[in-house]
Amino acid sequence: MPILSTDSLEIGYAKRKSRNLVQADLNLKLFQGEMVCLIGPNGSGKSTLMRTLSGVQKSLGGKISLDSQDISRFSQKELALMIALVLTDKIEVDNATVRDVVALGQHPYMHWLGGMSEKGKEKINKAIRLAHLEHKKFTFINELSDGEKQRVMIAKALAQDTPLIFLDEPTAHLDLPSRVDIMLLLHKLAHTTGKAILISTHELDLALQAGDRIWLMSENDGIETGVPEDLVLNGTFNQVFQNESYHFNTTNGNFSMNYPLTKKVNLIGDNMRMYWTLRALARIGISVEPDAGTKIEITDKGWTMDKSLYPTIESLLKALA
Amino acid sequence: MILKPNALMMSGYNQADASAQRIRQAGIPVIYNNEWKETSLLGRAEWIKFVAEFYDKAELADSIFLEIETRYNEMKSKAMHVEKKPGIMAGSNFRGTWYMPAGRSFMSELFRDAGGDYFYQNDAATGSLPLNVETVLKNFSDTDVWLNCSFSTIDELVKTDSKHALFRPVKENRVYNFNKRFLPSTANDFWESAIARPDLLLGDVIAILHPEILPDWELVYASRLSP
Amino acid sequence: MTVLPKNIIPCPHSSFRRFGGIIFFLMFLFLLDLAWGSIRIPITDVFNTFLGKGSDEIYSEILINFRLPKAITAILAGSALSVSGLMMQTLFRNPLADPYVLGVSSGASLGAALVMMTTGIIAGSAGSWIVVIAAIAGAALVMMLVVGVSFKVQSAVSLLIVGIMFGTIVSSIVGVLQYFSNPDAIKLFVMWNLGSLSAVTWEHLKILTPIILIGLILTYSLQRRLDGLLLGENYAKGLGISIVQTRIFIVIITSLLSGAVTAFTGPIGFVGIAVPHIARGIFKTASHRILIPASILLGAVLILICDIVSQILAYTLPINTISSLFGAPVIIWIILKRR
Repeated sequence: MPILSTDSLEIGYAKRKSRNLVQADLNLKLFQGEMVCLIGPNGSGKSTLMRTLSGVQKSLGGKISLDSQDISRFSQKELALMIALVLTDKIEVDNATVRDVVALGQHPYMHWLGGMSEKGKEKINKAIRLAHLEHKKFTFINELSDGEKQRVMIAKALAQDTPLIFLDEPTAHLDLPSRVDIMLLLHKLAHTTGKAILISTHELDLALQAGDRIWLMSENDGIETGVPEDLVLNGTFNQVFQNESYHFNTTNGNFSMNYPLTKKVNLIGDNMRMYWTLRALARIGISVEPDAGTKIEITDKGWTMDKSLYPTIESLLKALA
Repeated sequence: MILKPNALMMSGYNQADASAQRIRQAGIPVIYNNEWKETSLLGRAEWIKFVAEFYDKAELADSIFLEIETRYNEMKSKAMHVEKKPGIMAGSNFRGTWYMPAGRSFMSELFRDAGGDYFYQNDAATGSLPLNVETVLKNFSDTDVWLNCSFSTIDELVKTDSKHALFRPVKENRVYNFNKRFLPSTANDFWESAIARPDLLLGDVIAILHPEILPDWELVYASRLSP
Repeated sequence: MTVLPKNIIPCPHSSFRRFGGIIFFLMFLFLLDLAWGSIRIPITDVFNTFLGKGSDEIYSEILINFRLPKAITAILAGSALSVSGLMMQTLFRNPLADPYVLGVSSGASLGAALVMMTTGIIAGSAGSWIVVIAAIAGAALVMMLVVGVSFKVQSAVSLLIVGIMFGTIVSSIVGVLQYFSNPDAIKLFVMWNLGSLSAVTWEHLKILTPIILIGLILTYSLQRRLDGLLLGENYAKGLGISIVQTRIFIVIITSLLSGAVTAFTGPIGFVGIAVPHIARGIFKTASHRILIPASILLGAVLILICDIVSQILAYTLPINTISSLFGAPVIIWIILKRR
């Protein structure tokens, strides 16, 4: 049974006279214990979908079911017990330690005079542990790195003890090691805590590796869902991200830039260097064809062309220029 | 400018006043009256001569002022040679601040010329002193007469602030305000004609402090607070 | 098992100790405020008077009808304004927000100005009550406008801007009134605007005290919601906090506290901005459970200090001026210390 499901959902914006439909006829499911990545080009409506599913924004039609109940029957407080959010809002609090911020996750369970039960304290400590922040428990969050701050917000969402966690661009503004760290952490959390985790992200490569399921949103063709590798191999990715300047490279799961290729060379050699040599040559406008005049051979010592040996790609490119 | 006067007389606070310039541009001369700068009561009254020049009544002004001046100095010489000089206090408590006349202000001069003893008479300032209530209590609680109080009855005075009752003038019913003369337009004449008649003002104060010098004087501006 | 350096582990007892220290300081200042003044009253006489054994009539009158209500007003005003400032800083997530940011005390000024400059009534016991009632009416009017706007705006920043604009409009109206008034009325209004703790009599305190106490208690009851607002309104919503309702509570309580104080004492600046920062600096926490009582106590302390300073001279120094003179360097010191 999915913890969240939508039925012919329509999302968008409605003002008094106009109705701006962003997506329609969405039938999505979120299961516990899974990490789902919502991917799509800018403007396709990712944020709108996230806001609608978390109850912050009204849908324009259709139904959303949370734990088999219509989402409209949940009060704001009840929603807080079901969905925890991690947003991109900048956190600027003076004198708040990691523990203080994570403790805010227990807010919906606390007595109005601010007292916390033993169970609550346990949940907070567990959340801090799961996010690997124990050694920073009493550090002020202003003194943390961006990656650590993000982990604090994730820990807070964990402390909120909800079956669902939604994250909006959790890796934005982070450096690469932090981005990998966060995506790995989220994947692990989904599986160890049994929560359903939905992430909207631009992090294509990491999403394909870490996500159990992808929701691929396109501007005009709705949302395709599936296991990442299926969506890649059945060409859906190519379709959605079609563009003259780049294409989705099925082989390596990345975007390859479409450089104008004007010259040709023949390239032989069958090791790992082939792939990188291809990329370098493409950048300077050279395509690789077997019937080309110039021949380059990749050896252990370097690149051989016209009887000269070039030890680095840089020297090779200089020679070809 | 609709009135089309022959001239406009105004206080010379700011000679570069924009509205004055506009009036001048309309062809109306502006005359600056600086009587407020005067440091003595008689000096202020003497400006009647200045205004009179514009109406060709210089002689009349001279004689009026001479009368005032003579009467003033007569009364003053009698009062200043009195042995016992009663203590005077002035003003009242407003939200914790009590403004008392400074040593070289008109009020202070009035008190001195009337043969009174004013605690701050040697202070060099010319405006008002913003004192706190405690200081006033310390220096004036045992004084004799309270002048220029802004209330109308003793009852009101005490109701507004119970500390007012601690002053001896209140206990002995010697509190006076300057509200006796109200013009038909409900403005207090103390602020209007008293400037030109310092002799009447002096007479009032002397009659209060030393009734034996002016036994038949009827108070013009001052009136005693009723219980 | 990693060993943490001592200064990282928070000691709950240190909060108690700090509170204890502040409370002692407060009581000391209270006595000092009663004992000092232009008239030196020996401490023994102070105690004698309160024990009913006072002998000197002037000492008794000054202590009981002047210094005591003034000291109590100082404590009420200091705590009310500080706690209002704290709420404003949390709601708007702006360290420079103060209790006057919603324009409520400008409304109080308008009420006072209207009475003083159009009718000229101030002297007389009835006069002072008329001014107070008018000031409260002005504050209430602006408060209702701000509450109404709270329903409509999207973000707290919008509410902040609207509040500041209300304050500006009202101040302009006061300016117009001043332009058309006679010098005496203007002088009196200017004096009102400089703030005065001694303007508050026992009669006034009978009304002011319950209002402030209620306001302080209501503030403490909001502590959890205020904590929830620390991360911003979006996160607060995600935690189940009703934003519109919370905004309205905060607006009403702040208006009650700062409006009531201003109606009786006139505006007193800087306490509202500076004290929450001092509290944060001393207790090093963002939790309102601690910051609210801390601001209450520290606000009282600050205003008592200002009052003691203002009466050292024979002349009265307006409280508004002194609180600004104290407050501004405190803020600068705090900001420099942070970097």
